[in-house]
Amino acid sequence: MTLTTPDRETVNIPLVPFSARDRPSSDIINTCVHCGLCLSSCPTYRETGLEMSSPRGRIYLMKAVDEGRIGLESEVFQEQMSQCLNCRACEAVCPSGVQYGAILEASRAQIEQARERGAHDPTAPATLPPRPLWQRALRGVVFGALFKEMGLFRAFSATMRLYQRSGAQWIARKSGLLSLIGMADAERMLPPINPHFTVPRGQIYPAEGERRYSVAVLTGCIMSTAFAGVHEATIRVLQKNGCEVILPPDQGCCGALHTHGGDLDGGRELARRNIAAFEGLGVDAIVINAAGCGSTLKEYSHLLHDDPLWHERAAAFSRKVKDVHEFLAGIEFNRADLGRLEVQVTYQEPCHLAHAQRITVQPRTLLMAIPGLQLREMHESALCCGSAGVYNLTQPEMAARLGARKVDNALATGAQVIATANPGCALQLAGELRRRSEEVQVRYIVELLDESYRRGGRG
Amino acid sequence: MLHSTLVAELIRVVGAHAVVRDPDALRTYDADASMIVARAPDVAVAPGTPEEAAAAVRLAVSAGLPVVARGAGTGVAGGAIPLRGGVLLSTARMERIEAVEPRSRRALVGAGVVNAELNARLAPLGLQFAPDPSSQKASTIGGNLATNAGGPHCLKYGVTTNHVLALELVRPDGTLLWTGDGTPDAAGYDLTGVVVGSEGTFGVITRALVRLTPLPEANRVVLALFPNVIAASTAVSQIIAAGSLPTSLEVMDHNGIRAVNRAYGLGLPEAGGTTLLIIEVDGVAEGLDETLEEILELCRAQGAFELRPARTPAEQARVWAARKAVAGAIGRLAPAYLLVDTVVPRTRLPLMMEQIERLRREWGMEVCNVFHAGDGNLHPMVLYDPRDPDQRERAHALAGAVLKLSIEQGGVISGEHGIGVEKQEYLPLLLDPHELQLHAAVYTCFNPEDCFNPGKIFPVALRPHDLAAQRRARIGSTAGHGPVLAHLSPSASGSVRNGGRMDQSAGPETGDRPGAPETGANGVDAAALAAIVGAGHVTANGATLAISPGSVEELAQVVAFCHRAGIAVRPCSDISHGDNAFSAARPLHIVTRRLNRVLAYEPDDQTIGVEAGMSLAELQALLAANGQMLPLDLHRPEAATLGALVATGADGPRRPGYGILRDWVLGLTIVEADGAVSRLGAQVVKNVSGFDLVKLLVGSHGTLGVIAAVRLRVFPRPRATATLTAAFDRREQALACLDAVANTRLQPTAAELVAGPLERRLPLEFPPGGALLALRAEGHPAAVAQHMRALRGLAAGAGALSVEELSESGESALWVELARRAAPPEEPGASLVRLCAAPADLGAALETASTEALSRRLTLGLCARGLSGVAYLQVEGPEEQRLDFHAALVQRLRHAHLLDPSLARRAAHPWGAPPPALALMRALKTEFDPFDRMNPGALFWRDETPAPLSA
Repeated sequence: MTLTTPDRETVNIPLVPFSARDRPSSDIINTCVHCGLCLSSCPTYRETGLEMSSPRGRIYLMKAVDEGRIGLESEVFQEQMSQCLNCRACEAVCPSGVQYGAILEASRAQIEQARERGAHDPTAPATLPPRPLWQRALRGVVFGALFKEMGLFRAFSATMRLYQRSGAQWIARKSGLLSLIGMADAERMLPPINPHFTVPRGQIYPAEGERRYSVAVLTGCIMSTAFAGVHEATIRVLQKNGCEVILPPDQGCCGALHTHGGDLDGGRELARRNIAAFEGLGVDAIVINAAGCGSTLKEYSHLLHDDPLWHERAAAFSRKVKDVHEFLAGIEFNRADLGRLEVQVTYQEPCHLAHAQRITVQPRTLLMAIPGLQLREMHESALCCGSAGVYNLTQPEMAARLGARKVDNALATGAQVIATANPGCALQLAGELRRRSEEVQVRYIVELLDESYRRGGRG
Repeated sequence: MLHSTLVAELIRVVGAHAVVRDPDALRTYDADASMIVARAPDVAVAPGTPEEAAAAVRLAVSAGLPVVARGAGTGVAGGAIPLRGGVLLSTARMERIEAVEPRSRRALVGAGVVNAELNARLAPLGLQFAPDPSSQKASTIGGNLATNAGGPHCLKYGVTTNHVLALELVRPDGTLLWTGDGTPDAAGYDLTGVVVGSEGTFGVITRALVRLTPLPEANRVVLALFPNVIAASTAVSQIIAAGSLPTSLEVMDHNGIRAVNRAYGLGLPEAGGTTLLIIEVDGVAEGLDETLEEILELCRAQGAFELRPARTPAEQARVWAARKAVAGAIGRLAPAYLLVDTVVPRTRLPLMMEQIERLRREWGMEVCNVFHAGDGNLHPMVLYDPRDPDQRERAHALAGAVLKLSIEQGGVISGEHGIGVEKQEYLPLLLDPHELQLHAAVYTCFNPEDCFNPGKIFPVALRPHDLAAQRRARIGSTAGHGPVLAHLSPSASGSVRNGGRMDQSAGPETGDRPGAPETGANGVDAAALAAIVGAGHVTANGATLAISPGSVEELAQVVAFCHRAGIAVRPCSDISHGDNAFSAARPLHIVTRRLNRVLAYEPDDQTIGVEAGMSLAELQALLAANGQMLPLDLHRPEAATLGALVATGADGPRRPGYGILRDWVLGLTIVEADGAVSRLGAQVVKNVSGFDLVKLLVGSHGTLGVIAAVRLRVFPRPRATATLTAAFDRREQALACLDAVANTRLQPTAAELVAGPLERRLPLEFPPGGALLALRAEGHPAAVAQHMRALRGLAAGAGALSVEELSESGESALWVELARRAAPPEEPGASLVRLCAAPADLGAALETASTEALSRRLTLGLCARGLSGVAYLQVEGPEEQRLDFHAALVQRLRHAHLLDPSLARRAAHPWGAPPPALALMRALKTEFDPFDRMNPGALFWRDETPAPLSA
């Protein structure tokens, strides 16, 4: 018996190579010595068992494009760059220190840029077919407007709140309309919108007791509307710890969705705006309570490394950025005023905290500081929950598998509360718990601290 | 079959999500961690179950495609790359831990289970899977087995093969085969042992039953810094020689330190020459600090300028994470590296380091030395840039020179990574042509159509099937004409594998041979034999002719003569308990007793090589003079030759502490069926250079070849030893006490359960119907004292009537007496039966034996290795009843061996129920010994369909 395989050599289509702008670094790609120690840390490899869905496989694909053996038009390349959660668990375990996030984001940018070129002139060489019109329009609205203009974002959030409160949501869910248009899963992720939004207008909240630090808080996009309550808790906890808290005006979204989604220029625009907004405040730290935003803010200097006017300013900004847990665990943390919370908690580590920022001990230290709280570690606590920004929309199946895996692990601990520190994770977990009609709550660590302080205050 | 048809069929079997066919995606499978780029496979498949894997193999074979198994692709010898395309079978999705049995200390796991995940699951139970290759965070159990992986902690715990009880393999016909059921000391060839380390060429491993080890109660880790790598190597050599057995002794030179320092926050000095020695000791808490201090004193004497303890578990974890990340971290120093993996006797380490330094200078290359120093396993990593052809060439030249040097020093070319592609051309430097042929012969039994991982291990120009055919021709062309050749003619030797028969009737009736020369008692030309060994060494005893060769060369000549003359041979010593040969062929008896020379003994290496006729007593005397021992306590050691002990796979009561002969035999010299002399293995403690054929010979009862020399790992005599005896009213109490012992982190070296009629010679007392436990501890005096206290408490808790602590002469007398209870009875009317069971099932098995004995009015005395699951039963009563008793045990418990040669002739299954892998065992026998002249009739089962294995 003979085997016939398609002969690739006879098919002569020119390859679409990496272009010079935002090209993934060959040096970083070649730092990978193919040892494979990243494999077991990768959520998509754990789910599929396939090499191409592993960090090593994806780097090998990037290397193939870099060396001209395959091109950007490769379906496998595009699919894998999209399937990656950018959770960066691989980066944390890589012995050679491969900066995976940087080359992944650059690879995504390469694909988007080639599509943009294709949209402008489909006949030009080295282009990819543009995204369908509706996708381009959606990306334009989301990346170009909604997440760039916080006023628009708040208006959108208010509309969503109206949808939830007016009964429209009830009708949409019951009628099956959502399933009909394939939005049921995505819709379930829609958070209950907080009634009050956090609008940064230059407010200054005084420290409780002696003022030890002055900090500024980045309020961001979804955190300032859907999770405005978490901001309020964060501010109160910081005040309890001798911090004067400033919400500088003119700040916006951190740009994580843009940089992760291949719109590096959109991300840069937001970065510049935020740098300008926080410059000159003279604060001790720029505190952020969302893991994904924190890692983005800390990487502004990399994002703007080719921009001579902004690179230094970005580096100075990034040096001041502190995740709220990192910050609190690094100061004389106020344990005296913490009240008892008799609750069993398991901790779901946001990838951009554990892997991108390597912050793993501090959140646990804070949780265990709460009297009465029992921390029950879950299996695979550092494996991505499948949220990963817009991943629920781009890779719904994988997102659902990882969400279910995470919730299985969390429920196995018997905890009543899943603590986390990132909006994406919170939505993903709450959505999966709601699907299963589970009573278990999802709470931010700062919310638990806030509650503990309040009880302490009463006691 | 069309490619599309194959893909469609594969998708039907495993689902579309587990089949990769896009050429761009397939490229990700063309390399493993060796960075050697091969072809992309034609299709890749990731089955989720063994059954799916078997179906995938069946489809691939019927499409004429080779199958290459891949775990996590972390191997560095190119073992998992598809040289000829075909079907890449990833085991990654077979990742279920199906069962963990703490009392039997074993776990049933899928081949795709990640080593570190298994250990994470076991740790809360106080257990571990001891092999800890540096890649353990990602590498799979299947891959660990395929390469017989080592790791830093293998110095104390042994390599992967010491921790595998049985494995499930996909055969070329797409069926699944278990190599055994995991019962200790099951009879038959050790297929598990030979598949481990076969680098995916013997089939696809789909599941394994692995041995678990208790986690130590305490450990200590110290980082010792030396001014240069030679000083560190000398310290390692001296630590080993001093007789303490550390858990790990790992060396990392300044390049290694540089690679991992920052990433893991070790903050170690990086100055040129600076060398780190990581020392770990573990065990019970008491005595550990003293043991460590003795080691550190040796380090100071060799110039260690800083000794830095890693005190907290977090610090220790960081040190080990850094050590295990070195190979991966090389990316920080150079784009690529060539990893050398040779093993040398441990005393040669300083010399090898000097030579590597010289070679490094000569070739102008940078070398990073990071290695398992305690095992003598070198890992110089030659750093180079693959884009520079000159550098590439020099790197290979340097690596080749290290390989040759290692072989010159008595070493081997791979200790734990395997030969794969990277070292295949070096194999002939290590193995003689007929040794290569023997390896190829075994290969063809497992992989007759070259469908599993083809093109690996053997040099490109020496294809295994050609080598195996050459061997068959070699043996066939010189074989003499006996009646046996009527159905096994040399011209048909190419196909004898399936036609060979091994029941006792296959023996040659040499007397019938037409035109035979003047014959002796066996119908053998005694004069010709006398010409080889001298007239005084050929003796006739009744109908039996026996010959005593005086050297390995004479032995080889005798076997060659018999081969030419068509005469069967039976190697023997004065004792080989368990050798049930009942040949009707009256073979020539070869008495090996005169082969008793020492071949190589460098005490500081803790290995010894001796000829096979040396008695255990002679060996122990030699070792004792150097403060060493072989922890094997047998009755009448003066009569047991090492060859016979290896051939029968002897075990001793100290197996919980030290293992069994299988674990200690490093190398053998054997005389093959036609008189060719082959060396298997080597006198080094780690070796994955070709197949582990030594394992096949251990317990083979002389049916594969005559063992001429034995190379063994030996042990330092313990500083202190003591034994606690506890008498119990009822046997269940003693068994409960054993359960309690097994549930602690104590490390007793023996746990013997004695029950049955009390004899005067036993210096102990326990009530009729009761039982006695003898629990031994060895090591540092403080550790022994801690054991005695703890064991005393456990015995009391289980309701012991009396407890006594024995030491010195009282202790020795006890163990001499207990050894006698595990030996064949000297009085007539009694037989010895060995009963093997999973440790958790031992109590029930003994209960069954008691019931069966009682119903036949047989007297039963027993002596069981209580933590291991092997029991020796002394059965007294009428012969027919004894035979019937054994048959009943075989029926009910499978693994009952009738160790009574006269009775075994009449037993249906003297070696227990036929194993499921019997056909494969027969194929191996026929390949080794196509004319069935090596101890014909021994060991094997009568022809019948093997019973399926119950799960």
